[in-house]
Amino acid sequence: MQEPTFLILTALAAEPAHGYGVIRAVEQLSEGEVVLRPGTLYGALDRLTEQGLVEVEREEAVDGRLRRYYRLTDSGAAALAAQVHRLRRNADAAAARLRLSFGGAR
Amino acid sequence: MSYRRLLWAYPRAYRQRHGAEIVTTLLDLAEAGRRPGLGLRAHLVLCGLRQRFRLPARRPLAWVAALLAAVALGAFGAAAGTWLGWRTAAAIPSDGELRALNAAMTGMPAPAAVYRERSAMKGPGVLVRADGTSDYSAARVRAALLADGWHITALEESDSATLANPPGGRAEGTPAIVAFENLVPVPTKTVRYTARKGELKLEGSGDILVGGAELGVAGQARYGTEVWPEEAAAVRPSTVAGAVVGAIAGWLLAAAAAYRLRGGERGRRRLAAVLAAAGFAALAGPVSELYRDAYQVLTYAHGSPYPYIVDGPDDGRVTLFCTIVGLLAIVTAVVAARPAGEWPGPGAERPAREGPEVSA
Repeated sequence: MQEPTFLILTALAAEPAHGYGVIRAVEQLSEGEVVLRPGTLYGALDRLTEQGLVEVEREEAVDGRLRRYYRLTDSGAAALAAQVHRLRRNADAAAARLRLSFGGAR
Repeated sequence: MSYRRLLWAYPRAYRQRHGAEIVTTLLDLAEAGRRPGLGLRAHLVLCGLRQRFRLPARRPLAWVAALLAAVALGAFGAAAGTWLGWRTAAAIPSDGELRALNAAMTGMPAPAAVYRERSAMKGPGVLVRADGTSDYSAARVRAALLADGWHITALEESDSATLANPPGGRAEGTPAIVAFENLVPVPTKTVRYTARKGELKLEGSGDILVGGAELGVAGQARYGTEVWPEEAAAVRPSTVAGAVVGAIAGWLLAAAAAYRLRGGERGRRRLAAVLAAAGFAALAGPVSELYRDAYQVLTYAHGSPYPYIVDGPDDGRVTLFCTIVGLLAIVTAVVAARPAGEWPGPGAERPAREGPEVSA
């Protein structure tokens, strides 16, 4: 799972969000490190919908603007959980090895 | 510039699904003081182009079809590229002009046969063949070529002999083929000539029986003259470019068809798969021939020193038949399946089409 995908799923894990909402959430989650561009975001949302990991929750039209809210599906939640497990395992392993070689400072 | 216009690069179905919300997001960004700049706009266009190359997820057959379509259309693209490349070559004189030149060279005014041919490099060529009776004159050949604007690069004469039937011909009741030892050698003059005119090349020869008056064959002559253009600089690059463009087009068409088929019923998708498989099978022969042609174009001696031919006049019929059957099967496969279903979400835009669904 690529980082933008992981962050989009993470953004949608808390609550359904529309496009700009996801961009903002991802920016906050990554502490400004990842700023999604609309092209990337909608490419990912399209693919994730196709894979059944996210789905459209509702649509709103405000001032003639269409807002489509996406939410995580059950299989999306499972995929995200699996990825969290994988990342945590790898991060723990990396931290443990760093402690072994460089002491507890890091 | 309207944000909607930035979406032109996306496939239409994708635009219908996401166009409105992408525009909303761009407006949201602008309102938040992050007006989409040039980089972001360019990125959107690139994403749109990339979207066209994407295939539906979890559809291994779509990958196979896209690959086969790229290979098949690559072959047709290469052939089209070769054809286009040769359009830039020097034009071959008309049949009338060639017959006039032939008559002036040979001294035989009767209309000569003109054969239009294609070399192994798929370049044009023409052969003028004349049989008749004439006296031989090297000066006439030379003068005719010069008068027609040709620069003569070689003109050689040699003496040889032609074997003719013995005097009195074949006696009644004897075998149709005269025994070799009974044939009579007749003194013959052979002339060979090569010439150039701009980017055109000419090569020919004539055999004229200068003896044999007692056999009644004196003056019998047979000339053959071939004219062809030198290889145009564009032929090889255009062949390669044609293959690349064809392959890309094949992939894009297959991707578009795969998305179109995705929403169809299972039975129709199966039918489409079977038809497409039959179509690709029928195309296998023609496509491999086209690749062989492209290979010959690319490996041909540079400058077309001699326009040798590899295909007989009948070789193309089966190929053409298989091509038509194959393409028809694939087109039917795409048409047979219903257009893609609606986007899986509430209230998604339906295709702006009312009434019974049309599958074309």
